[in-house]
Amino acid sequence: MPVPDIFREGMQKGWRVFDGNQRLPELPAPDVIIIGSGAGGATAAEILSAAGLQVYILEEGSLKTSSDFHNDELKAYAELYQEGALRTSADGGIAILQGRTVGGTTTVNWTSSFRTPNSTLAQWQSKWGIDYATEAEMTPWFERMEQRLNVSRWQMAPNANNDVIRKGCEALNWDWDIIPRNVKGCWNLGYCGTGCPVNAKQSMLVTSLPAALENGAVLIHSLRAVKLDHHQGKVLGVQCQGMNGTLTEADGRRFTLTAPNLFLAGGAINNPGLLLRSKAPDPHQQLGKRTFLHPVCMTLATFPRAIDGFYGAPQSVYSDHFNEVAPTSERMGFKLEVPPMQPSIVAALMGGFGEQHFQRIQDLAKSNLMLALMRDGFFEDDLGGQVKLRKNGDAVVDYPLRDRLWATVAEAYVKMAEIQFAAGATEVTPLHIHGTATRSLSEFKAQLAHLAYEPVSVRLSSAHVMGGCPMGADATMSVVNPQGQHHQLQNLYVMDGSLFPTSVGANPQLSIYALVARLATNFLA
Amino acid sequence: MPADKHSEQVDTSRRGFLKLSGRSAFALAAVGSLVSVVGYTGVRWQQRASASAEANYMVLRPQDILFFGALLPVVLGPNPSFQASLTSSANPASAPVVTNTLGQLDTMLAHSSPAMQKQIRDLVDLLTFTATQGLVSGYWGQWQQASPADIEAFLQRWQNSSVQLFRFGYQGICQLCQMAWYGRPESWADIGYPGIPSFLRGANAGS
Ligand SMILES: Cc1cc2nc3c(=O)[nH]c(=O)nc-3n(C[C@H](O)[C@H](O)[C@H](O)COP(=O)(O)OP(=O)(O)OC[C@H]3O[C@@H](n4cnc5c(N)ncnc54)[C@H](O)[C@@H]3O)c2cc1C
Ligand code: SF4
Repeated sequence: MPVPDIFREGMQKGWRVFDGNQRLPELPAPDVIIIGSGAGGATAAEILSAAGLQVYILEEGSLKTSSDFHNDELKAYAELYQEGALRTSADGGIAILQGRTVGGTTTVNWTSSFRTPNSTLAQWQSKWGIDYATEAEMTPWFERMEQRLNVSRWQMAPNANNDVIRKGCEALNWDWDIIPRNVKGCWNLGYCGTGCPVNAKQSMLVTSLPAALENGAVLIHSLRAVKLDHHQGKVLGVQCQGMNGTLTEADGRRFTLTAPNLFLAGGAINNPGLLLRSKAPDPHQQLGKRTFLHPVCMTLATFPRAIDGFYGAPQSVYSDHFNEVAPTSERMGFKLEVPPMQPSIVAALMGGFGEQHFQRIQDLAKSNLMLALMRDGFFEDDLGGQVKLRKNGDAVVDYPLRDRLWATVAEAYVKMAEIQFAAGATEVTPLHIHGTATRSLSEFKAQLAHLAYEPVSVRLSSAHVMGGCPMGADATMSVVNPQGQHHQLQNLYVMDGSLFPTSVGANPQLSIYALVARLATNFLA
Repeated sequence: MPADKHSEQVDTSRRGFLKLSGRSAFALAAVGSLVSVVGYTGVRWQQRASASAEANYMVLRPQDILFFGALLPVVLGPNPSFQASLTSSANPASAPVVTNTLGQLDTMLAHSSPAMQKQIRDLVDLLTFTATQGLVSGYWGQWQQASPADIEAFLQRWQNSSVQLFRFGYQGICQLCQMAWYGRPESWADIGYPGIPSFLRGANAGS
């Protein structure tokens, strides 16, 4: 029973979708050019196009749709992720996953849909002067986007991998809950990370982008915005260039597009990268600073029963038991979740080589990985990373690892092991370059005392890249104002996760949808 | 040990060496060891390394193929399907599991970024150029001729190094090999992964 590929069908009906290396036909001039087709860009595109504006959406990734998604991990990582899923922070300390395809990271994300925590909104309001960052002001926008993307608490039973959190937390009397997901008719397959083959995930690829294209928007993929031309406080145009076949470099056709207004939605790291390449005014040296990652550390557990974490909704249970911390705390808050357990990614995460690695991967079907998303950016001593340019103009984030992060890792390791043992794990291993399997919590803690907390040795990764163009009322400590408008370039708006002045403290997509829905609507007013 | 000492200098000035543009950290480690040990310059060293990809490959050069080909069996260890294919091949270096995994690795790197590709080239150069190889790896011979024990010793040396760059190199080598092999269907039987659900294979795959 073939699943209809709604994107290809739309193109057959005449959606204006072009490859950046192809010569464009005569088209109506854009009112707004949106750079990036992910969570922020597509949400803005739907809202502007519904109001009758002519929108162009530029995307450096290629166009892949449900009929291209065969749950082939390596094909997906190569084709759908930034730097083929091999992106890291500048010194290799953190592996970074981000999307690079039509639909952006939403095409490959795991569908967890959380509202922005109130404690995060409170800090945005008090410290960054974002007056509308309150539960009352934001709730209508969360509700609107939850409806648009069919977000609801996951109804089916969690897979055994997620159930480890429930079981462990129940035994320990710690908080846990079911994750809301943006899916419609989900087959509970578990391959969200390689692109949903049945269009159940309500990613931008099947929701806001089709709606915008129905409204006459133009989408040009495989096209990079290389530089913005600007003069006297206004952006004049976008220098674009077609991407090569493997999406590593822009080496194709070059041309410049112009529009009265421009929305930047290339995601964190890449947005500041584009502004740095463009030598955008930055009188207070804020551009690219405050890039946050929700750095993740992990523990690996083996169970005496089947877990089969490669199947079933990848994320359905979480624990916020440790996510809120006092202002005097020496660590960050952290949110506990699990990743999907497909073999290639897990093989790369679990560490070791030879005999040791084979012992670990051999137990794949009985294994559970738990992860702690560290809530970076909430303390004075926690400034996150800074985006810089490589010699060839590509963006890279330099993210120094500081004591507060190591203190958080040390605590998170223990709490995760506690949950895993409480859920019946026979062995737990910290994902550390010298981590080995332990059979009890006390043995686990004894091991931690001997581990070095240093870059690369502690295995860290990130799938949530935020900030770098932070919004704020005070132009000396931010890049754009609370309406998303650039402090110096008046017709330039940032509309994606790079707006956040701190990390979110929860998986970011719904925060991006809601915030951008608000800002794009406000732009129209 | 001399090797660790110079590299230590590289490491402690982490901020500094990242700023030196145009060279990856691996190239710099090589240059650092060379300047102090044999007096070469980085420029001359870099000119010595072959720069173009092997025929039928997009990124991997002949020396990369020899290097990763030699390390793969040790990194993957006693994986039955991998080892069976190795032992049934007249020439293990061209066993299908090796060439397929290298092809997969090549595709991964081809889709990564110029920076990642350069980093891997510099890493392999550091580990294959005569003047630097032994110093940084502890192994002086040809990698194709190395015994599993030699390769294990090298990997452990980097795994246990106080130099961040070497730990990163260790992790990079292992992860690339593991991702490439365990992304391939022929590896799955050994690790209890049944593969893509069959109803999907029928419904949507292979179009
Ligand atoms: C594996 C994975 C799982 C995740 N799971 C979840 C989850 O379950 N729940 C959740 O809330 N979040 C999840 N996330 C994170 C979430 O999807 C992202 O935070 C979110 O999509 C970011 O939105 P964005 O608009 O900022 O950027 P993106 O969605 O990343 O979109 C940016 C787009 O712009 C393009 N682009 C960049 N620069 C340029 C340029 N110069 N020219 C043209 N195009 C450009 C990029 O190629 C990209 O397609 C996950 C992320 C990953 C990697
Ligand atoms: S789990 Fe659901 S949403 Fe995710 S890929 Fe499978 S069917 Fe699609």
